[in-house]
Amino acid sequence: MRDVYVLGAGAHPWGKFQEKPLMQLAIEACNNAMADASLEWSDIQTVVSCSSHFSGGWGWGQQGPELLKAIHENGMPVYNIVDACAVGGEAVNVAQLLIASGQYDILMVIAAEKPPEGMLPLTHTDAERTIDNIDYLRWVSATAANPIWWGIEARRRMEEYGTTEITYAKASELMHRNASLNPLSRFRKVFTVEEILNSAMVCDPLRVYELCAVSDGAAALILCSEEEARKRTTKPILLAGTGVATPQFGDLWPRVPYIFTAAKKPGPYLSEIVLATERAYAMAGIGTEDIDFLELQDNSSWHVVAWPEVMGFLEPGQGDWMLEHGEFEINGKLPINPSGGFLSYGEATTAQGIIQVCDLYWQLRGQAQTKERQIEKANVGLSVSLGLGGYAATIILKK
Amino acid sequence: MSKAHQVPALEGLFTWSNDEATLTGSKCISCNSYYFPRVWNCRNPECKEKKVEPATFSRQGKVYSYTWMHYPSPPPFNWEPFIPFGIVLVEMPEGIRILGRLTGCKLEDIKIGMDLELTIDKLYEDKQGNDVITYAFRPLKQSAGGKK
Repeated sequence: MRDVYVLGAGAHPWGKFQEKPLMQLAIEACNNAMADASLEWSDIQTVVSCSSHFSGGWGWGQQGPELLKAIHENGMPVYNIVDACAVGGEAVNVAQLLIASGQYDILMVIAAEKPPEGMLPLTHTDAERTIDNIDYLRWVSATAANPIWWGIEARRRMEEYGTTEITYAKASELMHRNASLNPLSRFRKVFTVEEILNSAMVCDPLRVYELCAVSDGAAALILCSEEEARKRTTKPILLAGTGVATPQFGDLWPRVPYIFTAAKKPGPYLSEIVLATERAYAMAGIGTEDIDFLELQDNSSWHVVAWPEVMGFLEPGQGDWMLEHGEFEINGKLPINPSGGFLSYGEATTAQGIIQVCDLYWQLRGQAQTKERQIEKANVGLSVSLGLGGYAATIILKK
Repeated sequence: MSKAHQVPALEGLFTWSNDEATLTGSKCISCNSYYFPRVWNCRNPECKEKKVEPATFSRQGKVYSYTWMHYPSPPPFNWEPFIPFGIVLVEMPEGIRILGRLTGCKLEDIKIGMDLELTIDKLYEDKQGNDVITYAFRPLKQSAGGKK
């Protein structure tokens, strides 16, 4: 199998763009990635495109054939990857294999999305309203919208480790402060901890400024073989590791949208994240100690303090101390989301796994959009995303 | 005063008698794993047989954690007026955790580890005037008194 490199990254800013069609967001992200890699459409051999599939229908995201029909209808093959919030990472994993196998030398990975407003809604048809439909079940059994799962985790952490509401607010404050340096991000206002604590309670103990909103967004990556990378850039970035996983039986972590967790004997918590990350490490031949910074999927402020522990970077309960002592900041010991994360970007679910890898790439290339956002020692970066229903993808880039 | 007819929000989730609910699910006949609601197959990767039979669960459990929802769920639930409500993740004696609405308890009274029991909760009234109900958890009678 061949080594695979990231040759370019591009995005459309994230936010709300009512006047602009989804396709235009996608095309601008592609064009920015190609400009970054000094490529044209005729150089691209295939497109791997991301969408989601919830309860029938097409879900959200951008299908590859439509994209080519709109901008470069030359008959090239496309791969549509369908998943939830982890689909971007999963698409990078598949794209890596397409090049590593020798099938292609240069390809594009693209995701663009305009999700519906507000809390992710019920989309079921009458025929889908059955007990076997897990996403319908959660509404009529427990009337449970997505953020309640994070509220439950946040409350549990307060009991187990003494995490306070102020700590959660500080996590959100850091994300928005980082985002203020990222022109692609949406919520770039620097909030005070007090402003966050005064924002409306959504699912106690989490407030509206501590939960990710939904955004329109798009991001694209160009991947290539080693031979192409050598020919086309003096600053090659290695796609060192990719890992994809689903949950393991026995994992009692409550995951959206399940109303039930089963265990014969308790297994690893958040097992899909743990497994995806282990697989990415195994491929890259490195471990937690080699990672200089993280882009993790912060659906809430709870994720910022808890996930670095779950992923083995910290001991359980240590996240609070790290946050309080500035170690998650851009120039701390373990920078978390120098991009500002999804508390600041907002969720364009299918594009999240791609923009994370773009952000890793920009940091490793020394191309962070503002000087203050650039991590000084950025040699290896890791991103992790988690999709509704239980999918995870971990990506490691290396300078 | 005549009581409105009660219909479950979804058939097959639970049975009820007056205000006491019992959850219905499945149990693996070979590895004894429990599932809620009912499933067609056992998903334990170590289990070869995968065959399940109908099962019911204990009517009591303990609060693993909880949240209090301050925003109404999206349609079709039209609660007017909307009243913030609790959702609990409950550890059941069968070694499983089940998510459900909390009833008969205020935010300041709920505690992790507290004993709960299963009851029913009205979600909304349908077009025919029936009360549409689901299962819910409430403080177990003997432990609920504490602070009140």
